[in-house]
Amino acid sequence: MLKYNQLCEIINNLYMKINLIFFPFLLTSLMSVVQDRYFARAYTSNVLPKGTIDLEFWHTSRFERKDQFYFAQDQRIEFEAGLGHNIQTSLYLNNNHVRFSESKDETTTKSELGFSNEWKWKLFDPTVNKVGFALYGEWGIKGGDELELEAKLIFDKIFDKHIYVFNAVYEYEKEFEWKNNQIESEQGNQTTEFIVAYQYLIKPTFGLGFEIQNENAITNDNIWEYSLVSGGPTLNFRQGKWFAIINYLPQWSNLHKTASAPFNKVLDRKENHNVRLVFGVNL
Amino acid sequence: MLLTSHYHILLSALLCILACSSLQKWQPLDTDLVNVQHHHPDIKIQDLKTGYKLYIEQCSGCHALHHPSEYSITQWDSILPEMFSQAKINNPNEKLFIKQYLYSKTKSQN
Repeated sequence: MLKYNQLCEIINNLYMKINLIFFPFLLTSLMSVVQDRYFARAYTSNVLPKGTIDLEFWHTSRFERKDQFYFAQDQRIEFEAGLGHNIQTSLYLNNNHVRFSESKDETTTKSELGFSNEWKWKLFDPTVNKVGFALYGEWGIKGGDELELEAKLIFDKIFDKHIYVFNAVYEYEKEFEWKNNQIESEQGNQTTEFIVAYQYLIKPTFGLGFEIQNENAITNDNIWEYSLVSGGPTLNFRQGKWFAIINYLPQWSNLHKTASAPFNKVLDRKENHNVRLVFGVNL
Repeated sequence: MLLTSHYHILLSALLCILACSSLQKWQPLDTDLVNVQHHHPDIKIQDLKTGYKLYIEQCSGCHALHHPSEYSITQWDSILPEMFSQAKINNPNEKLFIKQYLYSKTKSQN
């Protein structure tokens, strides 16, 4: 009679054999279609062809704040579909998890789930036209009490192996509270961002570049709180049907110091380091 | 103040974009039509324009576009079946319009 350990060993061996047989087929099938995304932060104007669907997994780690332990992880699963006529839409399932310290001796955690939906409309192609251009809009809900709206102007240009991108982004966030037995909300917070990115395609399957982001926070009283510049390298690997992009984005400098953000870095409400990994598969 | 300056930046950027036009070397021209009509007399300029539009729409989502003159008709014939499959272009008319546009500007035609 078989013992439990022997049974486990047989199942493990069987599992490994199945993997060995099927893995090359899986790899071959994944390498049959090219897909396109170059940056972890900056958006390019290209849209998926009609009927094409992408599945993307995002992971962002944000850490190091002043006088506090802080580690946040943002995870997104994105279903992206080309609708034809240069229009693309995406659905995101978002999960945000933060561990932070509230005292010297202990940390606590906070998690939020969210959903968002983006639309992108390409008007000019980065190769055929002098400048590529697309309009982008996104709406989302987070944690059951926050509404987010985002609009982007996307500019890009492809010269042979060189990719240049500029994004102008406007974000609006509004929080709702349950007070006096009814839902109440204050005027929302606004952020404008400018992103400049460049990438050199060393090979069709490998690109190296950088992304620089300028984030401007505006309070609900229309006060410009800070103008934070962050920037760092981006690596882009593409092979057949999948791609992987990684970017490291540390804070550089606060260009607009105010009473609420008086230092060269904004470390009381923003993280010093930010790393993002995007992995995508074409379905 | 900040919002006003941002508004001006965005407006300027939009105006720049409106000034942009398609680079002429990509557009179907009458000379391209004459070239391709040697082989396919029934083709009209509208067919080439449709092919040009489809080529941009369907192919630029996966890669930066290659100018048709980068390849000969023979080379395009060997590349296109795989590309049509990857971009899920199954409609025979769409395939034909894209082919005709590419052929009209290939090495051998020019």
